[in-house]
Amino acid sequence: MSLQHRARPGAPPTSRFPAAARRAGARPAALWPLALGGVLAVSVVLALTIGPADISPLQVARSAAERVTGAGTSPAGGDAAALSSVQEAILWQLRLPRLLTAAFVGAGLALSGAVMQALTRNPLADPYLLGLSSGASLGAVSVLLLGAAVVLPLAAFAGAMAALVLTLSLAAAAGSISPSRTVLAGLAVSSAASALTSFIIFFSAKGDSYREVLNWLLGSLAGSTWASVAITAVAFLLAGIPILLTGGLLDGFSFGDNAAGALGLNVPVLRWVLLAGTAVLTGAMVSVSGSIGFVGLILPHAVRLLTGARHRVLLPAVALAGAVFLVWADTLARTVFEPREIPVGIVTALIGAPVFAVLLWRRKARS
Amino acid sequence: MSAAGTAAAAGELRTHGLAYSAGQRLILSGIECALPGSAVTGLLGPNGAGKSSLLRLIAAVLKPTSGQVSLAGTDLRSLKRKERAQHLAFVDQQVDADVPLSVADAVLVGRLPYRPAYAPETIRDELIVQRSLAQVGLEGFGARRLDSLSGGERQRVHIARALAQQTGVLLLDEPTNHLDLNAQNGVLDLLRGLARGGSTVVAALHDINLTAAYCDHVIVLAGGRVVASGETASTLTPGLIRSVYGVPAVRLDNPLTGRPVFAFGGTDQP
Repeated sequence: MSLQHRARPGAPPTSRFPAAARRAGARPAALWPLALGGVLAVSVVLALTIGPADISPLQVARSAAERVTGAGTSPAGGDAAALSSVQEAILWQLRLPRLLTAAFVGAGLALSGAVMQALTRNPLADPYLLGLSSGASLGAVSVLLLGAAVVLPLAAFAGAMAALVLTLSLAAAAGSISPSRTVLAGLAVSSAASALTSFIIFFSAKGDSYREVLNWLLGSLAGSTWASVAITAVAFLLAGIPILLTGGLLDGFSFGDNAAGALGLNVPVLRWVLLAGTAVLTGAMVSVSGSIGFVGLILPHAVRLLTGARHRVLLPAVALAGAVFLVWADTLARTVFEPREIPVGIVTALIGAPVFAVLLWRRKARS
Repeated sequence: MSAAGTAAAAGELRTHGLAYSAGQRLILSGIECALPGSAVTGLLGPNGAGKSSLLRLIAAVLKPTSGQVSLAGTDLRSLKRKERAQHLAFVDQQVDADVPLSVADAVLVGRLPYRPAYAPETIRDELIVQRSLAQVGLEGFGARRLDSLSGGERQRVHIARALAQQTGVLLLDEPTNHLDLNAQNGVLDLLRGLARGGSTVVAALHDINLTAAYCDHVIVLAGGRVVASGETASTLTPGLIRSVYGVPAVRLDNPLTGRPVFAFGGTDQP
C-alpha cells in the first residue's frame, strides 16, 4: 500500500508540486496578522475622533502633523481645521493615551489567553486562570479603601504576582505542575482572594468608594494616562514579544506532554517560563485596567476560526485582534451612555457572552 | 529517498538495567533488552506490567531511577533534547483532545527538533510533511482538520508526524487502540513497511494475535520485569500466555497468513 510511495525514489513532479502548492495554498493564513495590523491602525485613528468633543479625522491629522513638525500654526484666525486648546488636550491627554492603553491591554490579555489555552489544553482557560485577577483585585481594593490610589497599579501587580506564586507552589506541592493541577490550584487561590476582597469591601467601603471599587473590579480604562501606556507598552515589549516569537513551540504541546517531550521540548521548564511570562504580562495589564473579562477567553477562539490553530500565526493575529476589540469596546463604553460612562468590562462581557454561546453552538454542530 | 531511511544507520537500541519507580511504587526493574533494527518489536504484557513506562523511558520522556538506554552505544540521556528527538520519535496513546490543527500542521510539528524556536518552517519542512503524509497513505489530506478524520486516519497522521521527525527509531504506545479491524491491520502493515525500510519499530500492544501476526520480535513484561523475549514465533507459547495472563491458550496456524494464532479458553479456575 502506502509503502510503494517510499520505494519510488523520486515521485514524478506532477504529484509533488500540486501537493506543495496545496500546502502553500494555506499560506494566506499568514496574511491575517498584516490585515489585522491595518485594521488596528485605522481603528485607532477612527476611535480618536469619536466622542462628545467634535474632532474630525482631518483635525487629528493636522494636529499630529503640527506636533511632529513642532510648527504651531497661529491659533489666531478662524481656521476651521484647527483644534481649540481644550480639544487638543482631550485628544492628546485623554483619548490617545486611553486608546493606546486599550490596545496594549487588549493585545496582552488576548495573547495570554491563547497561551494559557494551549499550555493547559483547556479551551475554557483564560489569562486569569492562575488566580491573577483575584490577586490583583485584592491588592487594588486594599489600597483603594486605604485611600492610597496612587500606588494602585503597584498593589494590583503585587497582588497578581502573589497569587501566581501561591498557585504555582500549591500545584507544585501536589506533584508536578500539570495542567489540571494548575487549574485546580488557581481556582483555590482565586476563591480565597475573592473572599478576602469581598470581606474588605463589606467592612470598609462607604459612599463613593463603592463605585470606585466596582469600577476597578469590572475593569475600566477611564483613568488611563500616558503612565498607563508606558506600563502596558513595556510589559508587552518585555513579555509579550518574546512569547509571540517562540509561539511555534506551543504547537508541540498539542498532543500531550509526553509527545512534546519526545519532540525535544523541555516540557516542565517551557511550561513554567510561559506560565510565568503570561502571568507577568497579564498582571501588568490588570494593574492598569482592572480585570476586564472575556477578552482573553473569547478572542483566541474567534481568531482560531479565522487563522487556524497554528500558534506561529495565531499568536500575532490574536494579539492584534485583542487590541482592535478592546479599542472598540472601550469606545462604546465611553460613548453609548453619554455623558455617563460604563466600565468596559461590562461591554466585553455583553459582547463576549453571546459570542461564546455561538462558538459553543458551532462546536456542537461540528461534532 | 526514504524519510525514515536516512537515519536508518541508527545502530542497536538497548536498555541496560533499566529501573523506574513512581514514588514508592516500583514500576520496572532490571530491564535488559535489545530492540533490533529493521524489525517490529511488540511489547506485550497485562495491564500495569509497565509497557507504557518502558516506552517512555526509552523515549527519554521519563527519567529512569537507574540504568540507561543506549543507541549504537551512546547513552541517549547524554544527548541534547533536540538531538535525541532526531533519533527517536514517539507516538503516545491516542489522546482524544480535539486539537483544531489541520493535518499538515499536525505533521509539521514533527519538524520542531530541526529548527530554532523562533524560526519559521522552510520549504524543505513542507516537502517532508507532504512526503510523510504520502508514506502513510494520506496524500491530499493536508488541508483537512484533524478532528474530521476517522480514528485510523488520525493514527496515521500521528505516525506521519513521527516520520517527519526523520528518526531511525519509532516508538508507539498502543497504536491500534480503538481502531477497527481494517484500520488495525493498516497501521501494522504500515509499521512493518517502515521496519523493512530500516527503522527500529517498537510498539506496545494489547492484542496477542495482532502481535503474533505482525511483530518480528516480542518482549513480554509482567510485574515490571521482562519474562520472555525473542523472535515472536518461538517466544509466544501457550505456556507463556497462561503463566502471564492466567488464561489457557492453544496455538493454531492461520491458514490465511501462515502465522500463528492463539485461541483462548476461560480464565484458570484452580
